[in-house]
Amino acid sequence: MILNSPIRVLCVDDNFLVAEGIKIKLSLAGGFEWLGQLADAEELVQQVRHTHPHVVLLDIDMPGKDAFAALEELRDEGLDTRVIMVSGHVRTDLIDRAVEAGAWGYVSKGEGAEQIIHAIHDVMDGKFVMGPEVASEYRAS
Amino acid sequence: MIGAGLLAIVLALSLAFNANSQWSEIWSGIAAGAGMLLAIMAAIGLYQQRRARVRLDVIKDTLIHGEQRYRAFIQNSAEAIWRFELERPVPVALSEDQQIDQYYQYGYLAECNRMMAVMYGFDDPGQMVGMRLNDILPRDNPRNIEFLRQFIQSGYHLIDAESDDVNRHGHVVHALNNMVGVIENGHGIRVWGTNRDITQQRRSGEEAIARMRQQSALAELSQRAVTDSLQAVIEHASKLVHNALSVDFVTVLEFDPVQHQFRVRFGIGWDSRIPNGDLVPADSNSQAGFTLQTSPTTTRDGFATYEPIVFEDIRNDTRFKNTRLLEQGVVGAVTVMIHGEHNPFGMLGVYTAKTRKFSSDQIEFVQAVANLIAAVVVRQAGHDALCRSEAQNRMLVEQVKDYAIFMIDPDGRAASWNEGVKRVLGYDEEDFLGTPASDLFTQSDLFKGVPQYELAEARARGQANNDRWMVRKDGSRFWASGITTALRDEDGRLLGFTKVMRDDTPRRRVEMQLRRNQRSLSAAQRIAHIGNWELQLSNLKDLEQNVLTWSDEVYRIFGFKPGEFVPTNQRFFQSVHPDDRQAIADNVKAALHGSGVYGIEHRIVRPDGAQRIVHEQAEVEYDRIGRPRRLIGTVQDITDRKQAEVELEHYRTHLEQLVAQRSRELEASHQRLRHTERMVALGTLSAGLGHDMGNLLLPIRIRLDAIELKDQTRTVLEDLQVIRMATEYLQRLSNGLRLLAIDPERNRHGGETTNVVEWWLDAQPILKNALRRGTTLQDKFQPELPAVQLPRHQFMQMIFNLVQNAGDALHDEPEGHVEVWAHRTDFGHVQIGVTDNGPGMSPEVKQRCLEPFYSTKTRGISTGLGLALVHGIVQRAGGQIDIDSEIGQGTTISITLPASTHFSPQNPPPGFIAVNSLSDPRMRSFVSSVLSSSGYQVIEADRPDPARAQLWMTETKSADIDAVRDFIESDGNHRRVVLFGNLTERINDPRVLQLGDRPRPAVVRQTVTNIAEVQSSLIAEPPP
Repeated sequence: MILNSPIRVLCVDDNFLVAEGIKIKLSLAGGFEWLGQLADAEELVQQVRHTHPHVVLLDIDMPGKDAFAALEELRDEGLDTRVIMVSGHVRTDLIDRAVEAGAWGYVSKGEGAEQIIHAIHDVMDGKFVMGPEVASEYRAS
Repeated sequence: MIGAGLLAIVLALSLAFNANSQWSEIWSGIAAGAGMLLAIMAAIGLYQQRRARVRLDVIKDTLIHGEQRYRAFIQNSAEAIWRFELERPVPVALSEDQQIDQYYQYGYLAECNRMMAVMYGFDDPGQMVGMRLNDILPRDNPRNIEFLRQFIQSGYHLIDAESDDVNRHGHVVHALNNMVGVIENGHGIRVWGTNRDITQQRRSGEEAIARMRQQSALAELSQRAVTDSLQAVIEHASKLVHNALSVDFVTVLEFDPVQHQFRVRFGIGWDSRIPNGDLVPADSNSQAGFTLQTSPTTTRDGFATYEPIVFEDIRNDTRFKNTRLLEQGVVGAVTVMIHGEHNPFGMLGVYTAKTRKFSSDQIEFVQAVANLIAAVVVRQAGHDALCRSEAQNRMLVEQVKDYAIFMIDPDGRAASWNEGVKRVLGYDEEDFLGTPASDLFTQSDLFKGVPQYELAEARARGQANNDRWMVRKDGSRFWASGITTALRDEDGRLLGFTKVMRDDTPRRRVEMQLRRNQRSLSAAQRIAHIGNWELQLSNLKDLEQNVLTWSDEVYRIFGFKPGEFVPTNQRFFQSVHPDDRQAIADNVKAALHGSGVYGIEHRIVRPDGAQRIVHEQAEVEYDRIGRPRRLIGTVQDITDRKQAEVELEHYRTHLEQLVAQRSRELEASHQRLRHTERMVALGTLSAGLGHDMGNLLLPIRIRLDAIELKDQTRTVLEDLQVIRMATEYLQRLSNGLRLLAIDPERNRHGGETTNVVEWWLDAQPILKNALRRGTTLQDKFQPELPAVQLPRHQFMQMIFNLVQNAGDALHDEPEGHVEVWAHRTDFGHVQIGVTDNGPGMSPEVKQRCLEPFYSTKTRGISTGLGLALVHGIVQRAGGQIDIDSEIGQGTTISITLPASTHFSPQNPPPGFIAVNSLSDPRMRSFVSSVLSSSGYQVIEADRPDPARAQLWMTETKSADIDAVRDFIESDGNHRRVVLFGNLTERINDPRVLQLGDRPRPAVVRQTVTNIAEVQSSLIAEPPP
């Protein structure tokens, strides 16, 4: 995906501080357009249809609608939006489900905000992304 | 009887011719007198002529057919007939014991008939000829010695004596013997005899035999009473009574009313001081005189009979004194007067040397014999002796009301009657006479031809047993016990039969009940393996001399057939295990000399060598004055019970072992579970904590980044730096906590690696916290250390346990020091270790510390699983664990693990090449990402290049089949191809593994893991 315009990013995370932090980080890094933050996955498809993000940063452990169910709906919509799972949980079964549901990447929150920016860029370059911690866990299982 | 018949004819004729004449009475008187005389003379003349002729015929026959008839008689006899020869004549002057000894020494069977062979289990008499006396009449049975002693004492003429013989199979045969010794010149040279098997009867009891003897004797005497002389009858009667009652002495005294004294007519058993003809005073003080004073009872026919005088012990009798009897050793007696024609004729006395209680049967028998003698006395006394004797004979039999005694004519019809017939059979005289004897038999016996058989037997053998169910007039059944005797005249012509029988139903029922009880007892004994035995104690000094009896089950328990031999104490001890014999002897001795009882378990050895265990219990039975009389005991085979007890004990022990083992396993399982639960709980807590910490640290770190980018004063930047360091520490702590969260039981390992230096950054805070405050934790890692082939979580688990153990060991050390170190070894391995300066291990602790549940710490602190867990992880990873420790020198535990291999074009992975041509770019990238994270260098190319590429990716929807084929052919390393994606057509080459275009993530992960495992093994063991 070659873009001349900023990368449009939508964040879904129930933790306001985390979303706020990522927003600041993307802002500082530059080249991103912050489309906003959703506290749950309930209206994800609707928001994607409405805002057309390039990348969605999707937390897993949230109240309300199951993140993987929302991911599958999004995949089934056939929209050209790439989703990166950003979670504090790094588990093989969660990674497998994310891949099957259509995610383009899986990043641990513990790997820091820098890793998230790298992940967004790689995904935009058409690469599947696993952060170092995620890759280590996946291969070790 | 013939005379009586003629007389009746003459009287009838005279009456017929002179019935109406006045002189008829005179003439009839003369005619009757003359007729009577004529008839008597004619009868005597005829009788004498016939007797002479018969004698001549007999002599003639004997001369002509002697040998032949003798042989035929012997061979066809229904009784066993035999002849024993003595190799050397035995002097009769020798003592009884010496004679018996020589009989056994020189006696052998010279001849016998077929019946004897059958009786002793042989097919042919010839098989028995030559047998020694001991083969047939075992000397070790005391009864047999007594039998021979009786033979000698009887003057070598023994009648109806019993012996305990053995047959061919060693089984006891109770024989009833009649035998005569042939004495020449004062030496015994041979013994003739007959015998028959009375084993069955013997079992029915001694009483039955005695009764049979009495009946037989009565029948025989009845017959002789008609024909024989008084003296012959007296002598014969004495012998019959002597044998039938088994008494020691018999006397027949004749009373002399003039001298008022008795004269001995005949005696048996007395010594020479009372010879025949000796005189016995008849004063009232003597026993004979006392008996004489008894008054006769007159029967309705005018016949006189006397009440017998019975005394059990003459020494205590106050009625009379008889020093002569006392001198002869007489103790018990029955005496009864013999009636003469008008006055008492004399006295019949039977005597015993021991106290004896005579039964009513026996007393009645003596009385009957006395009456029989009386009948002969009367018969001889006058011209009407024949009539009188018949009448008295009839009177005699009528006296015996318990016995039906009657005659049967040769046609099988009843010809006489007595009171007993009415009482036993229910017939009045007029009903009975002429009745077919077959009416008395049951339908079943009639059908079997028993009446004919019985008469035929009596005809052939003289007598036949008459013990069977019979029918009364009213149709009811009773058990008859008696004898049928053939009645012949002096010429041997059959006149008919006499039948003597009594109603023995109650006794029969008792016997049958007894037999049933015995059978039940026998069956019960057989089932329970309990036998009973009895040892008579007539000789306490030498128990061997006593008679021992065994029940059938004792034989079976000891491994023999019932009755196979006569049991003796010696035979018993032969069966006892040699080591147990003394104990039994001691027990018996103790029982006999005080305790009166004993019980013992001992072993026996059967003839086939099998050992069994039996339990014996016995009690001593004492006589009235307290002397041991007999020893009665039971023996039970308890082998099975003992074996069951042993097996039960074995099973119990085994069960206890199993329970103990199971308990240990449960304890181990429980400990593992507790440990696992502890670790899982710890992990859950750690995961939650690590996750939440990570979530919070992300925005903090982002904001720190944001603040730093703004222009800040130096002081603020310094503060920010400190805060950043703190957050970095917290981030590592968070990562470490999440490492602990991994399930410690998860031990799969497939190519996963751990970069030790990277791991240390995350693990160090956790490990430090595992140590007590004051204990220092240091690290020492070699630069450029390769990764080790072990998943991070297992590596963490392993080192965490080692550090924790070191911390526990340093608990009391003021300056504890723990170092975690790692370096590369020469063989492509990495060695990681944990060293402490603690107290060190003793050799025993060092040897056992890797065992599960071995711990030097209390259970509250340790599960004893830590080092065992580490050992397990290391073993599964193909590594090695070493312990270096001495008391006071601290401990170093080092672990050697294979180093991870990083593949590159210069170091291509052996065995496989992956070709990634998935059409979905996301999944294609995912596969490449997984391969890359597993150490493979991913190179994109239009086609696979054996020289440099491990992975070929193509955007096309299907792989170029030619490219793959070219690769396979050109690859000098002969690697297999794992193809993710579809080929345009299938390659039939086993080297190609095709996973399709839409592989599931788990399949991708597993495939990469499998490839890594195979490659690791190929690296470890390169092909030759």
